[in-house]
Amino acid sequence: MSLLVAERLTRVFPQPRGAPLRAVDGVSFSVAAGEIVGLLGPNGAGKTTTIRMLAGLLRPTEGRALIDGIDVQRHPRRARRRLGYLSTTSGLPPRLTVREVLETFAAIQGAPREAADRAIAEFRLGDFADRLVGQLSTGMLQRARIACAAVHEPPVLILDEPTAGLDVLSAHELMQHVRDARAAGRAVLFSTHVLAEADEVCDRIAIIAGGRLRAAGTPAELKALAGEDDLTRAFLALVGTG
Amino acid sequence: MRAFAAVLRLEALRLLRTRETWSFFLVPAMVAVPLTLLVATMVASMLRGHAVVALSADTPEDLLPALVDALADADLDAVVAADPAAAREAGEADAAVLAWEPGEGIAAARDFAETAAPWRWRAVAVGPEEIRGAVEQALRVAGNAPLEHWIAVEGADPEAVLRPARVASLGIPAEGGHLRPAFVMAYALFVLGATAYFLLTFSIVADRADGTAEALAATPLRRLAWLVARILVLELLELAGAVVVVGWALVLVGVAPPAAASLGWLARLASALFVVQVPYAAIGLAAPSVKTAYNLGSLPALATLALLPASRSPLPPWVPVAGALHAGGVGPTLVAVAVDLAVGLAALVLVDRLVSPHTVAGIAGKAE
Repeated sequence: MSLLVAERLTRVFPQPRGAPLRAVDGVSFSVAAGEIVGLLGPNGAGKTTTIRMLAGLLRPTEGRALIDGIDVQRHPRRARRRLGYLSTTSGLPPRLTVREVLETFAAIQGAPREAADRAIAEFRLGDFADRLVGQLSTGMLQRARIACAAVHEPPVLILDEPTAGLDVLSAHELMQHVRDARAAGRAVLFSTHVLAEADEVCDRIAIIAGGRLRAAGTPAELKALAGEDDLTRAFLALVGTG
Repeated sequence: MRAFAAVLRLEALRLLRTRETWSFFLVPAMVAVPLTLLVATMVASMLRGHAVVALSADTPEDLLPALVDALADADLDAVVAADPAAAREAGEADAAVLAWEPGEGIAAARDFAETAAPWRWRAVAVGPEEIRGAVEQALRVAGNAPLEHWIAVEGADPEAVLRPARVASLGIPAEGGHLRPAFVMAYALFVLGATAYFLLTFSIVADRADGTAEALAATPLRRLAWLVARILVLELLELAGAVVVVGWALVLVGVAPPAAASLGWLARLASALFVVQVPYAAIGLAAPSVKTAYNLGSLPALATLALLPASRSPLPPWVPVAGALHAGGVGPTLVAVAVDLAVGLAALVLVDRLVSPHTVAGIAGKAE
């Protein structure tokens, strides 16, 4: 059962000079319950625009996004109750403690009052729960951000480059949380530039370049499609630079 | 409701833990500016020296000595002039007491019910508000002194005896060199309000820059609820400031009228501030940078400043902002508050619709 669906998503940005920019052009894919799908592409490929449309932060010029069967544009609030979202530009108020932020997000999402404590335990934030967000290290901050995104235990998680800027240990811990989400039956979409990471955890991968979906399949299928035994070389071949 | 309460708590905590709140709002707006105004008022009063009150030559003889003494006690110098009004206009006096009408006088003191005229003397005082008030008080004190003696001698019941002087007074516009109490009060409020408005704009811009706005935008929270929560928190801070600065401090030292400490006045002020904050929320949502927010932020401040003279005129309570600042009585106050809240909410809904709900994408700025 697909919990996250992109249907011919298209986004055109008008430009002050010249022709409008077609940042995303008819992209379709889906993520099933208990599945991790990686969204890969070079910089400027349209990954973040696609993710913003899926999260209801950007209106598609054409097409639609569905979260747990709910049209994101028509029923944004209902859809967002089923979504945990983390992007490279989303943050947390620096002058609140981790616990205060988690309690706030839990209340906004209508989660039970004990949800914040559960998230603190699940994401091992106990030692930092009463520390101000602005005082956290990069790794701890990212863990707190994911805890906020998942505090209401949503069926769908969208993570835009969640390991960007993290050291190896923090990135490893974070990917373990992504695997845990899959084991809990959630649909996880995440974008990354770390191809080894995608190869390791993703059930399927969608490759976007120039705003279009170039290829989609399991890592093994993509390697076979490109005739390569390494995902990096397969990726380069499929986006047309190999 | 739980979500709104949570956002309200988030905004309150964030506001109170923000250094700028204390460094820009509390210290200058609530302490430095009122103190400066207070000192300026005192200095202006000292530089002006004793004000002079011109008394007409027909001032009742049995009242004159006591009146001069009472004026002196109020730091007012009395001079007798053939034409007190002309003396005031020529700048020889700050206020004038003229047009005496004899009433029962002191000798005619008797039980209230027996008196033919309802006053012992009647006079018209002309001058600036603060001097006029002191003159009226001096007239009452001067008239009371001999009467108290008569009451003591006759063993009369003080409650049943007519009290002495009746004063009709005419206000005139304050003259150069005087700090008008109304202006001092309005300016103190303006500084409080403008500071809070800037905090509103910059906190919204900061939220967009640090990503909190995007994190909240991906939740079911309505942006309108988030804006209202933010305005309410700042509004509470402003009102606390207004109570301390105007309601207590300025009333206590006599610069603001006692009505400024009333609940009705606070309700009118709160509703007026709510309307004025909406443009600042719009700037915070739409400004692409802190610099733009700063430049645009001065415009509503100037508009607010322009409203101050208007608010000194008697305006009907349905005029947003200015009407509320001037409304009096329960009925007009309710009308003014209702109008301001309706206008403010309508404007906020309009801002919410007109400013793209995807502004955060503009901060990220990229079409990746």
